[in-house]
Amino acid sequence: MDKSSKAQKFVQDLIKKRLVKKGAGSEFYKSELPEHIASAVNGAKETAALSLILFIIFDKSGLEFASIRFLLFIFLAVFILYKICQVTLLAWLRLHKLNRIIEDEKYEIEHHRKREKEELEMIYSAKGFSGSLLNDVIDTLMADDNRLLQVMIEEEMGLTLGQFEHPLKQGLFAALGVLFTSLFAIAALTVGAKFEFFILIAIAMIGASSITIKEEKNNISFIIFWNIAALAFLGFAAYFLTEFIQSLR
Amino acid sequence: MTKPKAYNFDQFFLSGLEPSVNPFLSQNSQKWGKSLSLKNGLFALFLLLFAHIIATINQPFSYFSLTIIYFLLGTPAILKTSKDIFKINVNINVLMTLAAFLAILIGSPYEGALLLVLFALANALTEQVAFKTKSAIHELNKINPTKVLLLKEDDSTVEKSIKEIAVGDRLLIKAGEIVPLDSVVISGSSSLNLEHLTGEATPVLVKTGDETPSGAKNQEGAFKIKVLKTFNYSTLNTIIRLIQSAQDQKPKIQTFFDSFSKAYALTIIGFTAIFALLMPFFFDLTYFGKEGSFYRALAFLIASSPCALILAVPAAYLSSISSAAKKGIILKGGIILDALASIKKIAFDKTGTLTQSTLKLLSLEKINTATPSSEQDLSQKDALAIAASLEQGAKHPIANAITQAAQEKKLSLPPIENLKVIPGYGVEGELILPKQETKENLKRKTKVFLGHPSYLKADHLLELKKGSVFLFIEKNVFAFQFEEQVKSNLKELIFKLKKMKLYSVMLTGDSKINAQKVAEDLKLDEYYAELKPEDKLKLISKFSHSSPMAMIGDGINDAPALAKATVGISMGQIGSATAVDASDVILIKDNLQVLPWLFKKAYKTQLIVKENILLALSVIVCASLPALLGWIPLWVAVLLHEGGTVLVGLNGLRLLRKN
Repeated sequence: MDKSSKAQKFVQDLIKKRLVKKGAGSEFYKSELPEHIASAVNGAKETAALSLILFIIFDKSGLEFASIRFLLFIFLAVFILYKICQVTLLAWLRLHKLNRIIEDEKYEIEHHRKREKEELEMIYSAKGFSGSLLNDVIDTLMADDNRLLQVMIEEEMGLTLGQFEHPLKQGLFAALGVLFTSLFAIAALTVGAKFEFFILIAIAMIGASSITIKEEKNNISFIIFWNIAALAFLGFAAYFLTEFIQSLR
Repeated sequence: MTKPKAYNFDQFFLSGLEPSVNPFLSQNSQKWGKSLSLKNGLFALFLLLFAHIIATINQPFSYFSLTIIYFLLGTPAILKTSKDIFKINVNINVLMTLAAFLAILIGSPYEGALLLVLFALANALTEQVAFKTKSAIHELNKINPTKVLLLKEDDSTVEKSIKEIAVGDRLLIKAGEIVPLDSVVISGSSSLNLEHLTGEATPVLVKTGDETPSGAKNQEGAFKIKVLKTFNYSTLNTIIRLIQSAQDQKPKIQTFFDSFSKAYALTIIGFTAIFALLMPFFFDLTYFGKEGSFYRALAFLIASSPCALILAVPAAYLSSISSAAKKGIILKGGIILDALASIKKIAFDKTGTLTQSTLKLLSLEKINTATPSSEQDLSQKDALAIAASLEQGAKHPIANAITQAAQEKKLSLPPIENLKVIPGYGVEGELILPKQETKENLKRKTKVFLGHPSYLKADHLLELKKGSVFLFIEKNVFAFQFEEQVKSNLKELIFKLKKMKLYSVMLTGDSKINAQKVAEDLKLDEYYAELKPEDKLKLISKFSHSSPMAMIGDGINDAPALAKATVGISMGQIGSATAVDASDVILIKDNLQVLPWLFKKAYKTQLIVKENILLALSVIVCASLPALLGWIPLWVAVLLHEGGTVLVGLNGLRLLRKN
C-alpha cells in the first residue's frame, strides 16, 4: 500500500473510531444548538409531553380537575429539580470524560512522540500535504507541545475546544425550559379548562421547537408539524392505553 | 474571519484541571466555574437563613430548603466520609458528617444543616487561598526554552521542539535568548549571564570552543552551538529533577490542628458510642425514645461538633495570610506559618538576595602609561569619561556600572566615532583625545577599546588584575574593577534576626573572596562559597537535620535548596520562575526587611490558634455535658457552641492587624 493510500485508510479508521467511541447516533442527531439552548429546548418539550400524558392519565382515571391540578403542580415543581440534576450530572460526566481525553493525549505527546509524529503525518498526508511542505507543517506543529496538543484534540479526536457550556449553565437553562412550558400548563390549569390545557401545551411545544429553526436552518412547517404530530400521538397513545388497561381491570 | 484561538493547556494542568480554566468550556462558561465551592457554600448559607425565617410561616417549605442543603452539601460530604472510613481514617470529616445526618434522626435537621454549611464554607475558604497562590506560581518546566532554532545542513533554520534535539545537532542562539541545552560554541562569540545558575553577576565571555551550560542567558550577539547533552541530561533538567526530588523528600509538616482534630474526632465518636450503650446502666434511662440514651448521646455528638474549630482555625491562618499579602508577602498556605514558627536557622543566597544584582565600579587603576609629559598621558577621569562614552548605548551590567560612575562624577563624555561592538569581547571606537583638541596639527583620531584583553592578545594583564575589564588607549591601559553592592539596611536586619535568636548563614556560588567580604560586612554567623546547586542542597539537608531551617534565594541555582528547606523564601521581582515555584514564601517587593515581621506573625498565629482551640474546647465542654445530662435542651447547647464560634472567629481576626 503506498503512502497516500495508507494515510487515507488511517483517516477512515480514525473516523470510524470516533463514531464508535461517541455512538454513531450522536453524529447524526447532534444538534447545532449551543448545549444550554439545546437543554432548554429539550426540557420544554419533555415537560410538554409528560404534562400532557399525565393529564390524560389522571383525567381518564376519574380524578377531579382540582386534584389533577394539584398533582400536576407537584409534578412540575419536582420535574424542574429533576431536569437540573439530570442535565447537570450528564454534562459533568461528559466534561470529566473530555478532561481524561486531554490528559491521555498529553501523556501520549510526552511519552510517545514518535508515534504522535507518525499520526500527524498520516492526518496531514490525507489532507493533501506532501514532500517538504508536509515536513515543514509537521516540524512547526511538533515544535510546540501546546499547539500539538490542540491539533491532536481537534484533528485526531474530532473535538472542538471552547464550545462546551458549563454543566451548571446547562442545568439552569434546562430548568428554564421546563419553567417555560410549566407556565403555559399552570395558566391552563388555573383557568380550569381541559381544551385550553391542550392548546397551551401545543403552543409551548411550538415555541420550544421554533428556537431550533434559526440555528438548524430547517423548514419551519416541517419542524412545527412533526412536533405537534408527535405530541398528538403521545396524547392519543396515553388516552387509548389508559382505556385499554382500565378495561383489563 | 476571526482568527482561530490558540489554547494554553499549561494553566489548566497546573491548576489541577480547574473548571474555570478548562479549554473545552466557552469563555463565558469558564466564569461559571470560578470559586464554585465558595458560591455553593454561600448559596447553602442563604438557604439555611431562608429556612429559619420561613419555618415560622410554612414548616414544609422550610424542610424543602433543608433538603436542598443536605443534597448539595451532604452528598459530597458522604462521598468523602465513606472514602475515609474505607481507609480507616476517622477524622473531622467523619465526625461532622455523622453529626449532620444523625441530627435528622433526633429531630434537629437545622443544626445538622448548619454543621454542613459551616464545614463547606471553611473548606471553600481554604481552597480559595490555595487556588490564589497556585495562580501566582509559574510552571516549573517553564525555565527551559521549549523551542529551539535548529541549523540545517544549508545553515537555514527550522523551529523544533527541544525534546527532539539530539547530541551533535547545531543550534542558533540569538541575542537575549536562553541557551537551551548544554553545548559547545562552534561559531561566533558573546557574553553570557550565568547569575541565576552560579550567583556570579559578571557576564562570562564565550567564544569558539567554549562550553556553555543550559540556562545561560545570551547578552549580546548571535552564535552557533553544537549540542553536547540532550534535554533529559541538560544542566537545567538536572536542576528540575533535584528540585522535584527535594520536594518529595521534604518532611510533610502537619499543622498542630490537623493532628489535634483527628484525636478529637476519635474521642468524641468513641464517647458517643459509650454513652449510648452504657448510660442506661448508670442512670434511669431507656435506650430509645425522646430522653433515651441514644438521643442524649446524639445530642452530645452534635453539641460537641467543632464548628468553632473548623471555622476559627482556618480564619486565623487566612487572617495572617491576608495581613502578610498586604505587606507584600505571599504564603502558600497556613501550614507555612506553623513551619516559620519552628525556624531556628536562616540561610541566605548572596547575589540578588543580600547584594544588588547590579555591579558598582570599585576601582579604576592605570596599568600602563605613555612616557611622562606626553600629550598622550591620560588621567583616570579621562579614562572613565572615554569608557562611559563607549558604553553609553549598551545594556550590560558592566556598561551600567561605568556610566553610573561617570554620572556620579558629572563627567562630560567625549564623542566617539565608528563605534563597534565586538560580541563577547567589548566595544571599540575612535575619538580625538582631550589634549589633542587644541593643536590643529595634532588632530587625529585615536583608536580605543574597552573589554576583555584577549581581543588584543593581552591576556597577561588578567594575571595582574583578575576579573577586571580593560581600557586600551594607545599606550595607556586602565583596569576597571567591579563589586556587588550589599543592599542597604541589611546590617540592622541581621542584628534584629540575631535578637530573635535566628542563626544566619550565607550560601553562594560566587568566589570565596567576594563571599568573605559580604559575610564580614553583614556580620553573618557562617558562610559557604563556590557552591553548585547540589552543594547548596546537601548543606541545607545537613543543617535541617539538627533544626528547622529557612532558605532565602532568587536564582535557579537556589531552587533545589529552597525546595528542601523547611521553609523556602524567594524574591518575587528579581527571582527566577524556578525559585518562586520551589519556595513556600514569596517576597513580592524583594524586601528582606519584612522578615522579622513575618516571623513574629508566625509566632502570634500559632499562639492564637492554640487560644482558639482552648476557647472552643471550653465552650464545647460547657455545652455538650449539660446536653448529655439533660440539663439543657439541645437547641440551647447548639446556641452556646455557636456563640463560641463567633468568639474564636473574632479572636482569629485579630491577626488581620498590621502589627
